[in-house]
Amino acid sequence: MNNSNDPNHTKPDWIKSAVNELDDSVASMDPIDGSRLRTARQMAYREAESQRQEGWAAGLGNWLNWKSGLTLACTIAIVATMTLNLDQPLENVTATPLAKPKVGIEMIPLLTAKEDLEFYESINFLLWLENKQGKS
Amino acid sequence: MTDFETIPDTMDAFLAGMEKRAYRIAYISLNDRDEALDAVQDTMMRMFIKYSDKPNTDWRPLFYKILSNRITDSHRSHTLRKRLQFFIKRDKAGDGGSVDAIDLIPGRAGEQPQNQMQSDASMSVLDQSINALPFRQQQAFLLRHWEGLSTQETAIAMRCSTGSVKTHLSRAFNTLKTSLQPYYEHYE
Repeated sequence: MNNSNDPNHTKPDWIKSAVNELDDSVASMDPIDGSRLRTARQMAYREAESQRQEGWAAGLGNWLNWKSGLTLACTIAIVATMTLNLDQPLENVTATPLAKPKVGIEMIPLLTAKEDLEFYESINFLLWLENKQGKS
Repeated sequence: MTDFETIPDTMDAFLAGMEKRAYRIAYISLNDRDEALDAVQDTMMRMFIKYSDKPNTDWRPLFYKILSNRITDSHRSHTLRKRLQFFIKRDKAGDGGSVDAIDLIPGRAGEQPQNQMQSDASMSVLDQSINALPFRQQQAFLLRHWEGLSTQETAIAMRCSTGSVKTHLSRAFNTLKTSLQPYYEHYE
């Protein structure tokens, strides 16, 4: 009995003949077909290499796009921190960081305000006048 | 059994050893030299790109899996083209016979009677017998009996269960036996 599902089993003669014919057809393949196959393989290799390089470049590009934003943000943060720290003497930073700010806290609203400086001067004058009248 | 007991270390050497047999399988199924060559070239390209890093013991079933998929794609596009041509011909008949440019595109060799005759003449009885089988049975027969893949490897290549491989192989065996056994007995 032939077991068609087991090629290791003794094959019937007609299958052996068919397999031999297939082998012979490959061995005696038209040289033009063989040459075309070789060329096809070389083209496949080149195409695969170029695709691989394009893929690598695209991957690097994506990586750079994603990383560059993060790197830029980190750089700005580090530079800003270093700049602020360099403005202060080291002993002040370690001992009393808020002891002697160069710019008084009370001046910040004055400096950042949009109102005219004369407006604050007039308020100061009115406060002084009120104090003087109160004393008198 | 094939002479692929030792698998080469490099993908290029592996493919160099496979290309002729792969071309033969593709040609039997597609019955067109150019399409068979395209199928093999695409398969080799995919192997270079995707599977160069895989262990070389996996290459053979993967190679035939890609080739089978590629041949299936060719069959599908061929079927689609035939349907398209059918509709175009029907429309042309309705238009009173005006010639459309798409009609001038040649089909596969097997579609045109004069080429069909040439093709059949160039194909051996063996090729014709295998070509007449359903594609899955062709695959099962060629991969198991000619390429010597195991049932498991054939199942990977055909993307089906080992049970399906056995079923396809059994059917192919019975069909081919009726056509090839008398042929080889007559000529031996």
